Amino acid sequence: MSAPVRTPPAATGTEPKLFTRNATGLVRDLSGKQQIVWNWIAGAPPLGLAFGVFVGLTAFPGGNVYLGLLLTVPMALAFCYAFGLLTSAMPRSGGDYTLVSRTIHPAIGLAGSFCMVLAQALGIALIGGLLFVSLGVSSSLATLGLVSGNATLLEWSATVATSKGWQFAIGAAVMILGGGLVALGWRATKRLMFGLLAFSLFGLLVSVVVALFTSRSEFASAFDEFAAPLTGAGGAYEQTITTATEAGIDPSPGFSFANSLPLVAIFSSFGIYAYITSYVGGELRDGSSIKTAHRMAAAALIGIGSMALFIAIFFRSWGSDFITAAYGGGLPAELGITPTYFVLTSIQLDSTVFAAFQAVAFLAFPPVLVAYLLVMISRIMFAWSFDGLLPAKIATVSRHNAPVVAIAIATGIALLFYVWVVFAADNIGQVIAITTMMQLIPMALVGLAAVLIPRLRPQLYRAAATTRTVAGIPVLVLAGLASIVSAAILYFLYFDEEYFGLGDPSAFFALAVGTVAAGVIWYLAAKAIRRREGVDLDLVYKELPAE
Amino acid sequence: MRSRSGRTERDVLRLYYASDVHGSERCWRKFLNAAAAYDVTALVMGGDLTGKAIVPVERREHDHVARFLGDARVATDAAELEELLDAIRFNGMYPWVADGEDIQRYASGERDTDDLFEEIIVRELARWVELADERGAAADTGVFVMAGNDDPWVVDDVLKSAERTVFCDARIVEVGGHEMLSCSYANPTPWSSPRELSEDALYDRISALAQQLSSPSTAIFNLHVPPHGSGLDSATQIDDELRPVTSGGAPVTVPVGSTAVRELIEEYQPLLTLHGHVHESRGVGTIGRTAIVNPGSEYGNGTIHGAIVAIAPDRVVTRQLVVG
Repeated sequence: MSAPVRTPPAATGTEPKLFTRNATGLVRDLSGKQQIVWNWIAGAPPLGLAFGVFVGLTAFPGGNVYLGLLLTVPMALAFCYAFGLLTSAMPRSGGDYTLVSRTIHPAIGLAGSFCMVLAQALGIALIGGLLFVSLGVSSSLATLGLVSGNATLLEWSATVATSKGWQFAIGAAVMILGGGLVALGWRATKRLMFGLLAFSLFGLLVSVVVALFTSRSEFASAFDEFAAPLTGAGGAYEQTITTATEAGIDPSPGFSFANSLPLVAIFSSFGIYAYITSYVGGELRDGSSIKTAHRMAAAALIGIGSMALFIAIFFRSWGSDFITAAYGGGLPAELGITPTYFVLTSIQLDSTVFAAFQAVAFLAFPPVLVAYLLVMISRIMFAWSFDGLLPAKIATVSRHNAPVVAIAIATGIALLFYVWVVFAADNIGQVIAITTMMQLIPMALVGLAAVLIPRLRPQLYRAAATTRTVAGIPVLVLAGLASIVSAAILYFLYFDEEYFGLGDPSAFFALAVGTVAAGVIWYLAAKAIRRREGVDLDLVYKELPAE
Repeated sequence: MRSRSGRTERDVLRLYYASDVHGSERCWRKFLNAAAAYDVTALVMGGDLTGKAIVPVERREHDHVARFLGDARVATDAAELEELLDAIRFNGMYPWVADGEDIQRYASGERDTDDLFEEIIVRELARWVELADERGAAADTGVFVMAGNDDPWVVDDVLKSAERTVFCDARIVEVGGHEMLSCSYANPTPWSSPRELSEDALYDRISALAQQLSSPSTAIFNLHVPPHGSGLDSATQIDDELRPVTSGGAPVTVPVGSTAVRELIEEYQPLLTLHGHVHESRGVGTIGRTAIVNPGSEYGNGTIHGAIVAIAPDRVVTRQLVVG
């Protein structure tokens, strides 16, 4: 491969500038900063810190969270550059479906995006439903009840935590509400999303700042003081560590490299999705520039880096042994709480107003992610509809520009999955694992598309933001290979560790193969139906010669 | 011969419509090749043919240098120079190879860049038209082309000089048994482009053409600007300084199409209307019985967005958006 036009080692800065004329300008919706924020939201920082990060401490004793995060970085970057550079060659909405269908084959693209939609619908069920209810509502009621001394709130918390009926009703209401808010229109949705996001992140930052200015001894004293009236004894902080130790949890284990690796599987469920703007590729400013990929990478690095920083601050203030013990079941039974960051900060400050603020700030985040995932699914459905794989009605928009039909379908699918999540799934870890693994299928296919594009679609490849090579191999191919390897490693980790509840892989593979087969069958059926209508679907994917 | 649905296939016109290639030679060549690839008998180009930028390529003693897409690019031999020029054309810009002194004259304002644009546009477009004549004749395809609101007036003269390609702006032409009227103008934009009219004037101009139609209900309206509030005209709102208007940190999207065009479609109810202009608002829809299409545009990455439309004498049979 030749690259005769090159950037000189030292540009003089005096090269002739562009001449332009007055002409209609295409203005893309999402600016560079907004693209970074969008991609960063995919990492769900409040949820990651509240749930994902610390559960691994007890599951994988001795695992180093910083090493786990560090090992997640190259995986995250691989996916960012595979998606980002392919999007620069094809800057249009639809994400993995668009990239794979145009590069490899439309049936494979559709099969992969069926997996993606299933994963996102599961994600909505998980985040908007289960985590919102169990982690958000139940913990918030418990904390408020404890801080204010209100027994009714504690009863409600226990009811929500144990009643599957209440869990389903509240989660379903949130999902329907989220769908309704997105249906208000793109403008209202964006305003709402950024507003709720800002409020939620403000709550998280307040917790971090409080921890930053609190020493471990100060936190231990505050915790002891808070728990004493409930337990009837002092020293609850140390007792938490003792109780966990007696239950077989080692709060201060030595370093274990072997147990650091599975942490990558946990962190990846939050840290490797910074490519989401690919799904609104047609709405990106500088969509065909390399900045698209760099912004994804920046979001991934900011997300993982801030996660590491916040963990370090919480470890320093609360003590890593205490956090390990608390997540390992060592907390006094009288407290009846999940030791999330907003719960611990509220207990430390022991203020009803502050606890209410923290609870509302945390509860504000899941609806943001629900709206965000609904937008993503609706863009995928739009791409299917534009290509003639779904009836044009799917792309119907309201007078507020809201894709109401697509949103209704996506919300309906999420509700169906929520029934499974609440009433049939074994545990949250299993739901997270299945969601991530289903999503890895289209992600690996995008990696494959990146590997194959120079050979299969050379014209499209030349339109990518860079055709640079390293040791003779195109950067895009390297990113694709790294994505495939990353997906394979994560699959191995999920199946290898009992913690993720995938002991019998046949059930997962049945789901995956069934979904892929459904995508292929759907494509073949749509193609046959359209042919009878006089439309040749293959033309949608055909690249015209430019000679 | 009858299709499986019972239609007489010979009565169905299959046309390919694209718009807003903005100087991308790659897109223009793909447009001309669409007839064979999509098996259509008519090609309609809806305007905005010309590029928006010239990239000066400075001729130096031992090499050529240009600043392009944020990078300083150097070409040290003829092959590299050709690749650089191709890369510039690929992105819908015009390469202009000149000495440093000449470039400086335009950069300093000593010479008017409008003159330079006109000179280059005429030269490049003449090549395009010649190619269209050749390809159209070879494929026995009707090629219908008009300018758009961004195109300077000199474009019309070049298009009119074509031997076989049909210049269709501001007139009624016959396309596969259907009358087609065309209008290159748009309603006012923040960019003050060459062909803009007030809504009233735009209405009068198109209405005067529509009144000449013998059968408006089976006609095709080839109107560069889409109808207002149709879903084919959504774009980010721009303030007086051409900056995106944001609300709550998010850009505000508004309909920017023409109310006059909408009114005319509602009044005449043609079979089909073809639109471009708003690149980011790709889609199909209906206004009353009229099928409306805007295939959008992403000329900058060398792909052409288009629509294949099959039209029976009294109805639109299919509309299919494609990217080539």
